[in-house]
Amino acid sequence: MSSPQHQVDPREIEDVRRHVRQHKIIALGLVVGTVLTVLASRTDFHNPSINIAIAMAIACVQGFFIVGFFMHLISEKKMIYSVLVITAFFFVVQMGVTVWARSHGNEIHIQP
Amino acid sequence: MDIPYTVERRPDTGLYNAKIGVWLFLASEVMLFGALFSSYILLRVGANPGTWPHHWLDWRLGGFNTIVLITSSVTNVLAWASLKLNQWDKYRFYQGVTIFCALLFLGVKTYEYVDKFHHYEIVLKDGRIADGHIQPDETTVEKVVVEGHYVKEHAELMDVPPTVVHTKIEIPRSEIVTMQNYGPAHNNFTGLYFTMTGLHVLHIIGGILVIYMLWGPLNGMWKTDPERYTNRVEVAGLFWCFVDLVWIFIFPTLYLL
Repeated sequence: MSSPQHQVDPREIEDVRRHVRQHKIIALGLVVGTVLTVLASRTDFHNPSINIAIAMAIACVQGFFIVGFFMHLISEKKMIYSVLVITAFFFVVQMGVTVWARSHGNEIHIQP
Repeated sequence: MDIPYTVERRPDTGLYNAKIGVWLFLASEVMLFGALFSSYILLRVGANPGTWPHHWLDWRLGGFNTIVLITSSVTNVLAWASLKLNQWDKYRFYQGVTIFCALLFLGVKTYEYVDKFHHYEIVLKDGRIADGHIQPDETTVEKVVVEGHYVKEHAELMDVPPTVVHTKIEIPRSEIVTMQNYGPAHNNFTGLYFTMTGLHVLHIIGGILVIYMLWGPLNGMWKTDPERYTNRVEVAGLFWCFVDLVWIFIFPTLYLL
């Protein structure tokens, strides 16, 4: 199919090229993050909670880079942030209910 | 009548409509997967000590699939950037790699699922438990043949050491009390595993269908309305990155911890 189809602003071209370089570096970081997650999960810290905390922390950092840069959330409009603040609120409530279910003497024992 | 704001931005939101639409959709998706993750937490924390399985999934396959999905996210973003730069051939190449990565991911997942459905826990009349992969070619109406090992207690299966030696075991059917594969009904862990990864696989299939349609059959819009086409690719890409994001959390949760 033939190209070009439309005129591109030279400033936009430079901007996109900068983003491409950025994305390649972040991708490399995500792969390194995956390797670190595996290493953290296989290291004996004498307390499984530490393994879980480290693995989840790395996953959160990876998630930040995917949402922030690959999905361009870091430079998004206020409207999108508003939607996501509401989502975050309900997500916290959802997880809060889970934590609450385990406290206040609500002991549950589930046989797998 | 034309659909409004497919390219130009709405004055009140500052966005074209499809973009806000996909973000609203992704917000609902966060809650959907959030419910499954909270179920996982509740069931895992509530499980009695020694009853939650560990290392039942191959982290090497999960890790490989993680890198495959990360690669596909990058090529997806690069494809969109290529359209922004008017580089159609590069777009076709990068998005082709995205589709290839998605198919590779599905191939590995299929292998994992088939492996689980061929993996059996067999309780014998003498109390022992045989655990291993069924050999369909050698299994008959009189006997079941598995490549695996024996354990005395069910709890021993919760964290089988990687050093355990697997041998061919022939079991007469008359000796079998129960026999169950590691499918979704096996226990809470496999139930959650198949539900979470199954839903994720459905998202992969849905995402790749959209990306393929834009890449192939519906690419004519690039000639007639390139900016709208680029926006469609961007919106599909947002969904694709979200699918990658979900996997970034599924991988350590199910495969490593």
